[in-house]
Amino acid sequence: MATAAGELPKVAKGKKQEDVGQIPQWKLMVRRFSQSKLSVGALIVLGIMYTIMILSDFIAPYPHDVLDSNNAFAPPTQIVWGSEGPGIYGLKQELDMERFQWIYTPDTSVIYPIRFFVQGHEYSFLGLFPSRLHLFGVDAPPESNARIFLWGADKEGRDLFSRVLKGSQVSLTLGFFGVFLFVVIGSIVGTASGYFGGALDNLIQRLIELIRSFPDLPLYMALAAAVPLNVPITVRYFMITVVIAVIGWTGLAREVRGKVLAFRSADYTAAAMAAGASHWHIITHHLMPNAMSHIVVVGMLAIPGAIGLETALSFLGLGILPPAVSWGILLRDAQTVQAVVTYPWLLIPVALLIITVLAFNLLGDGVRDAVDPYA
Amino acid sequence: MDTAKKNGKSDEILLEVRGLKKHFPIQSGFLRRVTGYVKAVDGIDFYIKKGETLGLVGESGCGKSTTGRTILRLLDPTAGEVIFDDPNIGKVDLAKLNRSQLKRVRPNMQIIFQDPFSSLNPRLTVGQIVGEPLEIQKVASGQALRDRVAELLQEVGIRPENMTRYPHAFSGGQRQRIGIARALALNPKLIVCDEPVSALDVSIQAQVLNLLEDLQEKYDLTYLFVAHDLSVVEHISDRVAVMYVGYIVEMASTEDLYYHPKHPYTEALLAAIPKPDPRKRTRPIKLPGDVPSPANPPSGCYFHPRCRYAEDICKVERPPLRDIGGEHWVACHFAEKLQLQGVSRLNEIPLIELPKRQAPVPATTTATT
Amino acid sequence: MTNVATGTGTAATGTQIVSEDDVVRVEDLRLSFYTTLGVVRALNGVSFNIPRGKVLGVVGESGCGKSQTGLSIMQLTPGRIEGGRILFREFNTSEVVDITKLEKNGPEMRKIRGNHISMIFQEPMTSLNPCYTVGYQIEEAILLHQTQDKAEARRRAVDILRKVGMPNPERIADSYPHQLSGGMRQRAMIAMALSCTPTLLIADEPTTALDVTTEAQILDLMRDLQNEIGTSIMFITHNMGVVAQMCDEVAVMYLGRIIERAAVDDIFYDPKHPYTISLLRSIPRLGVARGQKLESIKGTVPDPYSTVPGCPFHPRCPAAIPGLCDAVMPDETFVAGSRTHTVRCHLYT
Repeated sequence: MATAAGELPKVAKGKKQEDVGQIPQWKLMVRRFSQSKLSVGALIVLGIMYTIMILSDFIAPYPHDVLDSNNAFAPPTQIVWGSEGPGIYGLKQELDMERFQWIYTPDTSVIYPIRFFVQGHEYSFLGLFPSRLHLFGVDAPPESNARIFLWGADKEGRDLFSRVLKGSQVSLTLGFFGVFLFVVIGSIVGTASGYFGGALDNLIQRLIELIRSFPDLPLYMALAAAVPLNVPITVRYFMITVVIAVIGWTGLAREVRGKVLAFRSADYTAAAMAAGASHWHIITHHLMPNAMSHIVVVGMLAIPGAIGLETALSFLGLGILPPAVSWGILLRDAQTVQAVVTYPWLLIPVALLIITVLAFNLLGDGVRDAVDPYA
Repeated sequence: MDTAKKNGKSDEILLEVRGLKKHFPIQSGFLRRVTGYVKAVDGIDFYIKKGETLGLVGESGCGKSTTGRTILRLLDPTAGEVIFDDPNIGKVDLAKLNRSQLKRVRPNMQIIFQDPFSSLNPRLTVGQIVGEPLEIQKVASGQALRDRVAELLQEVGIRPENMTRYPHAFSGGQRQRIGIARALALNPKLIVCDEPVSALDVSIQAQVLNLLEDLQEKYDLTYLFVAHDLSVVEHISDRVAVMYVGYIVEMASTEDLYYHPKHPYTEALLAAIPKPDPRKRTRPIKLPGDVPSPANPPSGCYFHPRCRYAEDICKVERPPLRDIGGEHWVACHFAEKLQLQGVSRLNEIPLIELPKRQAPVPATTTATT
Repeated sequence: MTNVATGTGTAATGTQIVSEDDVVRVEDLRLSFYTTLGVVRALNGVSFNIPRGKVLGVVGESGCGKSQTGLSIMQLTPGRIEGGRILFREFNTSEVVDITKLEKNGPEMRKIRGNHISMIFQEPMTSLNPCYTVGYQIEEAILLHQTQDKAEARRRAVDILRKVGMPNPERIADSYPHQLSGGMRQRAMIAMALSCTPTLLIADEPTTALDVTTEAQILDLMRDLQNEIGTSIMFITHNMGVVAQMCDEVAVMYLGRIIERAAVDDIFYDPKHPYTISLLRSIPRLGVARGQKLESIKGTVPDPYSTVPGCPFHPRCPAAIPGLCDAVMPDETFVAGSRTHTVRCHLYT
């Protein structure tokens, strides 16, 4: 029945007057991908999240690490409409001695207006140049205790919104880079193993089996624990990335090896060999381009796992350490049932984590279906 | 004996294979220790003369494709010699060449594959595919490369405009043509045709066979035609070699082999051809058991457990391939004694001429356009 | 569409329509596939009958719809049947059912499938379950449709395995499919298909994947069994040699239509349709015109998403009549002087 789109010159193609034959495979893949609404939706969601992440210092109204005991566990701020547009009330802090909780009551006498593109604390925009410009801020004197907490504040009175944004810089990127690193390692090792075979292949496969025979989580914890504590945050970030990559590459290497074995024995590779092609030519012209789509898919589907892993390590105190912030660290505040019941906004990072992981999974599924419709 | 059917045939030998073996190791266990060998090609001798087509037939697993690939050094032989008469270098033993020496000989020997889908890289355009050998051998680049590719495509009946299209836009027959253009790119002397038409529809088969014959005539090509379809091989080959479990059991001119076979296996093979003539229904020769595994072949003549003429000597001694006269090579102890049945010629079916065009018939059919 | 003289009445009183000599009568069968790339009209009005105790060969190139015709009779096609009838008469009964009206997986269809109509495929592993022994699978079929007695079923299973030429049927019955060679598996599948002595056996390229010596043995076996049991066979293949060796009657298909239908001798010795003629001229023949050019059919089969106006073969037909063949679909007509040879071509109207 209908197998490949055969070619018949005489009968014109029905709808579009385009030549399907001219379209490279990857474009056909993009086309197939765009037919999956769910995956495109996921891509849009992720696009928004990453845009916000890049602009997080500009969007966050406060630094992520300034303590403010006057606002410990302050709930999300109510936005009101004042004479100058949207604004907020100042908060009065009281201690409920019975339940030993802070109680905040809004002081409705003054509305402090919210202003856009205001000057605030200094930060380094994209690490390139210093800036004080922020998307929004509250025009209030420092003594008024009128601060805008869109998603409430944590136990040290730090703005959760700003912290989530700052944390996304770690959580959304570390897993990504970890996967990128292991994709590079896995592809190279897998290609070498599959293409050259023999003793090298044997050695690599045994090594992979050895690594994989360790139980995952204890190994991650041991590795993470081995990362020194008193190093700069960037160094630690890099080391945790490596930890994520150390084990992850093995699965990919196997996958790539299998693909390379298949492509190596394909007739087009034999044709290139018959023409006297070098190893490098065969790898770059025939093996890599064909394996690439599978590598991308495996990488895509690994990202949510890596993000989760970073969060888990940070949550356990083995990943990113305070005062730096990641979503895993934010989750530590939501450990107890009491905290969750009393301060439900502390769960916002969980929701974001779920959305991210879900979106990556949907995206990965869509890419896989687009690349290999028969899998 | 009709040998020369085409012009340009000579008695000069282009390729001679002596004692060629290709054994694949069987590995098992954690350390992949070698526990045995699949003797895919187990000591074969044959030769191909310049300008001829040698058909290599046999059933699946007999080693015919492995033979083709080992000759081209796509697989490294386990033992034996492959002596190729290179037009530039002269006679060389391909089995002994290293990578860089091979690269100089490769343009003269190319290959056409069976599967029109796996033989073209889906990520490359037709132009890139056909031009690849030229690029590898640094024969041409830029505009010269494009011109040569266009010329090659034209040669195989693909419009050069198709250069920028990808393989998925083509039918099986067209892909096969593209594969042929790629094999022609370096002006080879020898082409190994590895089941080039067996994946194609009947009507397309004829097109590709005709193309191969045209090209042979035009470029004085020599073919090693590996196939399992005996009718196709009979049509295209000057001489035919029959393989059974990694061993050549008979090699002769097409006429001799098909109509005066000397090996019992050839006889059984010929009897099994489904002949396209309902008035010539044949009953096959019963072959007891299955084809033996090349990892564990029987003693003596590999065919003896299934051979109805087998005698005691067949169980112990493997008959060598020997010339029983007139370039008829047979590996059978009793080649001279046996009276074997060849295939019957299917010349009774009339070749029906196509009916003449007639004027449109208006009356009966009310045309509903 | 068809106006073959055998009387394709539209009357719903099915009993008269299928003559006593036919087991299946397919009328104007239409089948479509709805894909993301468009609609594929796989069958465009296929009509034929399968005579009792005969082998009908269905030949054509890939994409002509021959396999889909077989699958439609079994109600196993993934496509959508959009019109036509498939009338089936059980062995030795006068009852006629229209298979297209039955529910795909309903009890009646399941009873027909396997019991009255069996199918074998090119790849035996598609119908043999790798988890069970060959004997068990045949017993299953026998227990399902024929007898309740397990020992009897076992005996019959071994019997049928012996019948299909298995050298050691008891041992084969206890083997798993993967332990058998390709030819053996094909025999096992035939044994399974014949275990219930079906009225009709649909064989879809059963020997295409086999080596030529094995193929010959299997064909020989099928012919013997057919003579013995009297099963009708619908033999789907692309190989003209197999057709000549195996079939009594032949239907040639092109692009979802039967373009010629005749006794096997007529197809080879007196073909009428330009496609049949060209097809026969394009196959190499032993001992004939060696070293000369084969005749080939120009062009390729059109892509499945397009529709060709007029006769589907006209773009490749060497005898096409401009203005007629490219505009009007020819009707199926009898060849002059014959009661069995029909052709769908303007040259004969």
